[in-house]
Amino acid sequence: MKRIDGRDAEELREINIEAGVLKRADGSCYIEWGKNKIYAAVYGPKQVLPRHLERSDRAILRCRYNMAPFSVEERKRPGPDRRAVEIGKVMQGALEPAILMHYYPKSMIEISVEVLEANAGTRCAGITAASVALADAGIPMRDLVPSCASGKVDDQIVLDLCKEEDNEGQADMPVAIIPRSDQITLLQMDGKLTEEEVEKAIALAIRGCQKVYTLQVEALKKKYAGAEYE
Amino acid sequence: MLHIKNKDMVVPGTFLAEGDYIHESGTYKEQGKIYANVVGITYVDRRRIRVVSLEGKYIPKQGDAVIGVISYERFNGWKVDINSPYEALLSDKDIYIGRYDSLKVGDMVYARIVRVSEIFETSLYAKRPYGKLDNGIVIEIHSARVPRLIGRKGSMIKLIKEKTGSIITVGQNGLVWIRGGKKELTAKACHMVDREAHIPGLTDRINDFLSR
Repeated sequence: MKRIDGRDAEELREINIEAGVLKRADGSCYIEWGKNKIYAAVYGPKQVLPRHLERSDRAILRCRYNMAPFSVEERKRPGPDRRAVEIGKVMQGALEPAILMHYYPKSMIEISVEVLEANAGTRCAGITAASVALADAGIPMRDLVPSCASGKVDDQIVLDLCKEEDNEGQADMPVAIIPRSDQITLLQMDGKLTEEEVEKAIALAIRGCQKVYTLQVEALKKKYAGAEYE
Repeated sequence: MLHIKNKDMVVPGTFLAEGDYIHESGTYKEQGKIYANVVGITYVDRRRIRVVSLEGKYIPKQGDAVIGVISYERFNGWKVDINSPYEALLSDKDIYIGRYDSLKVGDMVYARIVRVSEIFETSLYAKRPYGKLDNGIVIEIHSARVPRLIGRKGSMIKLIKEKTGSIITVGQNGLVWIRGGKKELTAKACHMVDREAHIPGLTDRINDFLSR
């Protein structure tokens, strides 16, 4: 059965990732995930501000998620709200296990994710882009962190919900993984799923993440195509 | 068992090798397997594996010569911004300041890193041949591309010096001090090296640019 936008149940939307797009950031990434358009910028490692957050044995990670007022149909009031703070927090939790934080004690890594156009799945696209931006900034990581959502629409478990499916569907479950060790670093859900459906949805989302991962690697390799070093 | 070739382009998490290999910078070991932890180029020298990063901030290392900006004045010395997440300390006994001279916030120094602690408390030494910068210009490039600017056995920097007549001092932290000769041209050439560091045939292009 085809979905509302003509995809199969296990098909991702079209994803384009480009690394190193912002001049003034230490690392950056632009992602187009279906109709989502998102910039991620990484600054650091740098001196910790405010100073009391400093940890003498490792770096700290701060994430900011922001939606542009024009990113959604109805104008969004600018500035951080409950949802943006929450997404910033879960993004930090999703990315931190992959970063080798003890390499840079007493420092801070800042990630800023700016959503220019939103069409469901912005946190997944944000994490995917942020992790490419981290690699682009030369920050040591165990692995890249791909992220992808699955959910339930019309009693069927499907991958990567679009906006209509997200609004009218029965459940949505974003997942982020560290592919190398198969660890899950983000797992959220809203809606209702049975136990079997949850397991099925997680497995499907992980398969989606692995596809996203290959795109991340491609994007990074593309930036340095033909690279050579003394 | 080696899973990559020498001079391969890798990304964080790429499986490099397994077994009897020594892992160096840009890599990490987990459960006996060696992986890359940065985006970069692999170097395999017999049993040694390292990944040279193409990006990243400068991290202080003992013995490096760096250029820094005085950022804060203390009673017995100065704090120096060395273009890194970590500030360095310069004690007043480790620099020679003439009777009619002074060292204030905003001044620049060329110094050697004498000590870096576990938590990156860094101390500098700036007596001769190091010291306060009093002429010329300072530009900034990525610290990861400093080896490219110097070139193999100093070939690149020698080329630029010959063509422009400038005296160039490169800090490991990516600050470059240029004085004398055609300073603006030298600065442009250095920025070109920074921009095109990863594209092959760089030396020829710099030569062309400077001969124009």
